[in-house]
Amino acid sequence: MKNRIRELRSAKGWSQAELGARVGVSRQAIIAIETGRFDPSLPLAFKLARLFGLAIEDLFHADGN
Amino acid sequence: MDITQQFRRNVRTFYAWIGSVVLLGLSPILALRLIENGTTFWRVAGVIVGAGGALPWMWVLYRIVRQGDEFVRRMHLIAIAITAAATLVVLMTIDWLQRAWFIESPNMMLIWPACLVIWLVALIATKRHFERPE
Repeated sequence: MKNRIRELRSAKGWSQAELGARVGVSRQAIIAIETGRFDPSLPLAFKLARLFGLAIEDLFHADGN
Repeated sequence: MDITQQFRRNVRTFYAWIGSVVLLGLSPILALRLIENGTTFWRVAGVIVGAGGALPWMWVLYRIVRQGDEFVRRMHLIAIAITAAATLVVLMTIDWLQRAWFIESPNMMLIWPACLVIWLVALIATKRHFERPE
């Protein structure tokens, strides 16, 4: 699953560790989510979407869409 | 939980990990010495110490996984699944090699450390898989 987390995080000027702290996960988790290697759980996806003020479908999208 | 509490918890977990690994390493040595005494009592004590030496390590590992976020849990879950499958293949291969008279009856003292090594390799491989660049 692709996502816009890196782009949105950079726009906010947050580090990966800072974003992780804001949603309660490790920096490694954010790295893995940003590279698309790890798909977050629904609660974490909601937390991320809420943090960026977006709907989940605006933050995450299936490959190729 | 604030950052100081989290740091303290991580330090405690680190020391618990070191302590449990030391116990894991020392318990087989102590267990062998107890078994060498020969009496039933000391042999039973040897089995308890030998097998029980791994329990603190397993407990600390369980705590680490519990304290971790969903990413850490997923990593451990995959590593354990790989370990279970790989261990099964290793045990079956050894069994068939023995049945076909290629090898003598294997020493279990070599097999269970091998399982630990398989687990460690699986964990490192899983971590690398998730953390490799796009």
